[in-house]
Amino acid sequence: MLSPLAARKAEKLGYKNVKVFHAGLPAWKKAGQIVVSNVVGLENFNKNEIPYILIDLRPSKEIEQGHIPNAVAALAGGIEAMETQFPKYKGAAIILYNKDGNITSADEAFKKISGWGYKQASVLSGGFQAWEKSGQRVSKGAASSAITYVRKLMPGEVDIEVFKALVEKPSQDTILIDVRMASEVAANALPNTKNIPLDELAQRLSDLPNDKNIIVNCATGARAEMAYNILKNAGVKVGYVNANVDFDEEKKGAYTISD
Amino acid sequence: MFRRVLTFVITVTAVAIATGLPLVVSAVAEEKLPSKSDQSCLKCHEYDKGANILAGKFVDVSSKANTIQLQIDKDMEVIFFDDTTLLKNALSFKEIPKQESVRITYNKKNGKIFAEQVEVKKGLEIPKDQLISAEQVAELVAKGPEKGKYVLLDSRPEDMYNQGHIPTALPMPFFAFDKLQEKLLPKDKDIMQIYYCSGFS
Repeated sequence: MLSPLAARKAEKLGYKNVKVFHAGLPAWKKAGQIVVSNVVGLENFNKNEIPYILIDLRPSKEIEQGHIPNAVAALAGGIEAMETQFPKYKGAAIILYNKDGNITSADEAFKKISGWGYKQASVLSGGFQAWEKSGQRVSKGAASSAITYVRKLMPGEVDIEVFKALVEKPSQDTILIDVRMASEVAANALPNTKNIPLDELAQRLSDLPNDKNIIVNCATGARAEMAYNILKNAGVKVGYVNANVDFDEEKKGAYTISD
Repeated sequence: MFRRVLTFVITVTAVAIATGLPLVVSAVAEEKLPSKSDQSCLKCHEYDKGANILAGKFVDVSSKANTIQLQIDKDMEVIFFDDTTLLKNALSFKEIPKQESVRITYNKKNGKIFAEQVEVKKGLEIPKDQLISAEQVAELVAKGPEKGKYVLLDSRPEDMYNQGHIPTALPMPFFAFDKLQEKLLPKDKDIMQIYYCSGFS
């Protein structure tokens, strides 16, 4: 959404060789390419109490000398041996780090994890060195080898099971709004949902009853989150569903709602 | 996480509340035009009489006078707006490129043409030769900015950049573009600049 506008600004400044990678980060991830995060991002997870999995890829000797707090040591058998420890939630933030952030050496572990379907995996830019350099606390001794991850709902996020139950059996005090485009909804929609496309939402606030809870959904959770923000700022009692809603192409009316 | 993006969304919401949409356009359409407006090009160029829509090329905006200049064929029309005017497919009137096709849903206020909504028709259309694929980006990233002769710029809010970005990308949140351009953009105007964000979702 923003990159084409940025490209226009650059062209206005007289730049001649301006490109837009319009499919952006989601397409980059889909192609199995490596994603990097940084120390500030990790600090923000701590500050905002967002749960994450941090995996130290270095040999145990180096880990003992110092590692990032909360890190889990990769098992001798490699990431593969840890698969069963990973959470069911594929949107869990997973950060891998090595000594210096070298992408090539973290590549294998990263590709395994993203291959398992985890969408928020990244390799820490600059690795342990960058963490140390930023003056952050360092833990000494052996790191834990067990992943503990408890998913936390973000503000406004509705538990998927609660949403599933409402789709099956509507409640009198809650209205479900699908914010996808009308054409998408015409092809397939969840039962008991009403369609108001995201771009019309701000203009159609009066269509919403003010004595009921609203829950918004879309196909992936991205537009639902935007809709949530619009409605919350308009003073509506609202929650959103951060889930993939998929429809069976062969069996009309069949759907799955998943993390 | 979306703080910067949000300020924009909030504005739009506030606009919608203030205008009390949806509009009852049919009532407006029946209103007789004052004689002065009869001479304006509006009469001949009304795009769609029933819907009160004007279509033309965007010429200029004056934020002092709160007016937009719209070129309809060879004529020029001045249209008023205020902070209740809903803008679609552009972040501000200033961002709309000259000669871009726009559609304006208007209303009559004291004989003036007042824009309820301005929709930039091709607001986000990108010329084909400007597009670059994941594969091409990956090839360049493997070479690195120096050898690959490129600058990769992440237009998303910086929080999102920190959580995960394409290797070698620099954070350049769209809303800080003007502030950062001197620092981040190459002096050599021919070096490839690649912009990306969260795609279409």
